[in-house]
Amino acid sequence: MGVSAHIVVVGAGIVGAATALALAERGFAVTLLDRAAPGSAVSGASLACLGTHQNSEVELPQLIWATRRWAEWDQRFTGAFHYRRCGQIRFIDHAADISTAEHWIALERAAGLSAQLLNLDEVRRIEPALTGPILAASWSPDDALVNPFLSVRTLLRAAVEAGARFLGHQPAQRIDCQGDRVTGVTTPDGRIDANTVVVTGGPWTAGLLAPMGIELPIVPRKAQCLATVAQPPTIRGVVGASKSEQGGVHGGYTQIQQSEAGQILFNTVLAGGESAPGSPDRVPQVDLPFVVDSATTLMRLFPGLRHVDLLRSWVRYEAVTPDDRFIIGPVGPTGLYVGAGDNGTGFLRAPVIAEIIASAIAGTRCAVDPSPYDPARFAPKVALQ
Amino acid sequence: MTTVSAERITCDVCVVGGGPAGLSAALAARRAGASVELLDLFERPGGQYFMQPAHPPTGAAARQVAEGRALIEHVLASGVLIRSGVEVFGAYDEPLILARRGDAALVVKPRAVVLATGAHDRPAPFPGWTLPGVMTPGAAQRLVKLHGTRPGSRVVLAGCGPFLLVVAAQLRAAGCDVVRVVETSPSPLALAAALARFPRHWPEAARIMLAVVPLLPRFRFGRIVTRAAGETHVTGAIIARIGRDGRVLTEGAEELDGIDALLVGYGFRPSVELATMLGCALAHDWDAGGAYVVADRVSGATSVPGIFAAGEITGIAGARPALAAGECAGIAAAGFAGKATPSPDGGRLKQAMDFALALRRAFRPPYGTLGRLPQDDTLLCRCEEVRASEVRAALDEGAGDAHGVKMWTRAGMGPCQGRICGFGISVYAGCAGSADPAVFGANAARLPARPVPVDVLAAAVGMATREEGAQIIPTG
Repeated sequence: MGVSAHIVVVGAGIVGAATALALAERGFAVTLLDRAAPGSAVSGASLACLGTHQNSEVELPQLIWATRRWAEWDQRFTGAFHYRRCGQIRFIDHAADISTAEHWIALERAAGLSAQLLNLDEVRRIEPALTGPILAASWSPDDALVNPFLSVRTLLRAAVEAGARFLGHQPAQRIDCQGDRVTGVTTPDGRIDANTVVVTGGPWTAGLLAPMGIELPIVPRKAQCLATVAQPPTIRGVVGASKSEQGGVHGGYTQIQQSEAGQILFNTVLAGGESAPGSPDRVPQVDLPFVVDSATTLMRLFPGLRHVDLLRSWVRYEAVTPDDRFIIGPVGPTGLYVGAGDNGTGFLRAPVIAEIIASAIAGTRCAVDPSPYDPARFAPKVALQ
Repeated sequence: MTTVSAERITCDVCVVGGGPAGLSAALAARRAGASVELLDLFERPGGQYFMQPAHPPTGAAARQVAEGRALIEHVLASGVLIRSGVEVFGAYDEPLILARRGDAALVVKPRAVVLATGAHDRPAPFPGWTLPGVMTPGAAQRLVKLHGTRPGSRVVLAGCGPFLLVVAAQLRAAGCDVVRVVETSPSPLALAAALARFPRHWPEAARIMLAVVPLLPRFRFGRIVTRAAGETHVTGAIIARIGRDGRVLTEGAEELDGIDALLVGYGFRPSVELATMLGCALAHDWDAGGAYVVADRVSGATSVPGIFAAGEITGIAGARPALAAGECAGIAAAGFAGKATPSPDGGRLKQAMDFALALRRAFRPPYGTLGRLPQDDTLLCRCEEVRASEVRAALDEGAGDAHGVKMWTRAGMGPCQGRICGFGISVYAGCAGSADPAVFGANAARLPARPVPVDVLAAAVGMATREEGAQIIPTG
């Protein structure tokens, strides 16, 4: 190819698309690469919930900033990605978990958010189909959903309109360096020269950086989901399991929602349902225990859906870090940046990553505090060469 | 409390599909000493080729039905258990087969599996193809063979391949007025040349030819249906010549009126869903139907140990190769299950395949032409109502492949999961986005292979993952 670009962004999921947009808008010449179709890996498999509720205490300021940015994008792109402020319910089915929910509600309210505890009548008013045996629920009315596919498409289109170039089906095979400087990215079609490379490659990130002697603690984790055929409007918002005192979610993790096209999307991973390690290059079928857990949980919470036809399942590998937070910032040689480690919650955080990386490259003030994501927190594993 | 019953079966060999390949596989495996379960989707076994109507027909059709009936009786007499009306919706490589019959869950844990899941029609979109009265030749054949129902009284039959001749003969026998038979291949010479080399097939060819002789003046070679006309039902069709460069020559196109059925199909697509879910290696060749299962030419062994494939899913070839391949795969599967078996004899299969491949070469659909048929407002994906212009816009913005198009337009996201629309989107993208249709990819099959109620799914998978236990699962 032999083309020249100042910045190459590797990975066109929601994080890469947002980052390319932020950089192009700051006037940089940007080339965005993806190994396949844009958003076809983690982003395309995401349930794309934009929620501050029961999410991350440490990151609450950043998450609030991110939700505002998403709402601004919705205005700016005039509904192109179907932003819906549908709210989020976290159901509680163990009495011990009520105090945990109250803890989250208190700290979110202190930050100016409007989470609250609901009794059963209030739950039924918001989600009438949720008639399963739960005790109570927490409720966060400002949480939203977006269409994950159209979000990537919209940000990618905006980045291209701002001058970025997108190359699909162009896997980055190697990041090239000269001395202590990044010089480009090698793809099967040739080399793209660059003085700055941003790797937003999700579960592929660590593998791309490993040959450079940079060891990032990012491992792939199997994420799975099931979808029914389209139904009439049944579920209004996001329904999940409330976190429990024991850490994590009592008895597991659940997310259930209805897509705008009507399909019910649902998944439940019960404690002990941790899946075997795998590679994002070879996507297997959904695990059978996962299918049982997800189907029985859906039927328990929404008995009216038990005869609905399942249409589809899917599996992707998300990128997991030891502390469940993204790794964002410079690593290794001069000019190399990373924004990866979605932990299954990359959609909401995409604008945060874009802001941190773009302001770092531009040398401008960052609108959010980047410190929770500092790659150096895993030093000395991230060896500065 | 409602309950879903769940049954778990173990056997040496589970055959999926009750057409020629599946029936002969089941028979061969049983004769080799294996316990065999055959799961078939339809009310009666036989598949499309050996379809068994409730009331046996007379005349030309009787011969084929009788041959199928004889085979089915052999299979039953051998001790194979044929389970009809069973929808297989999942497969895992333990191996494990997840199925249902109505609202009852069925789990099969065999030692070996023979996939003989066949194929289905391969339509290509063109303006007007969604009008009532437009259907595939295979669907029309099913109406005639199974129910004695005519798809229409004045019918145009169009597409590519010798299957059109067979359907033309059957429609005529059923009393349809076949107004035109529109074949994209330039002339009958290629068919004649293919036949010339295989005298063994002359009697069968002669029977079919004889039946369509009165229709010969109505045959149009080197032509294609470019549009179906009609308000609420198809009433007409435009038939145009295909130029040397594959473009449609609008000049001199025939505008046919006064019809009530238009049957269009461009070959068949292998039903590779279960094989895909099992992780069997696939290859791609449009002339073989698209994605097909890579299988050993004799044993039918796929890339996954214990999983064998026979018939159309290994590449479209017709019933004779399927019968031979089924026998080989049945023997090999019984061998895998621990039965002492002779090596399958691939001689008959090779002979049958040679002829099938010659026919395949003689009838190659004009993929480039098909890709040019849709207009901007033509629906490419019927389930999600996605138009050609939307697919083109997604390609222009970098969607890149079938998965990208699906995400950005929802094409292929509906109940058919790309089985019906995948071919059309792919050949369209081959023109609109200059993508190579073979690498454009397809909507990969995932659980469930067919829609299944959540409670039946839970009962089946619950039964599959549980140790030996109760047969009834409460679900609500």
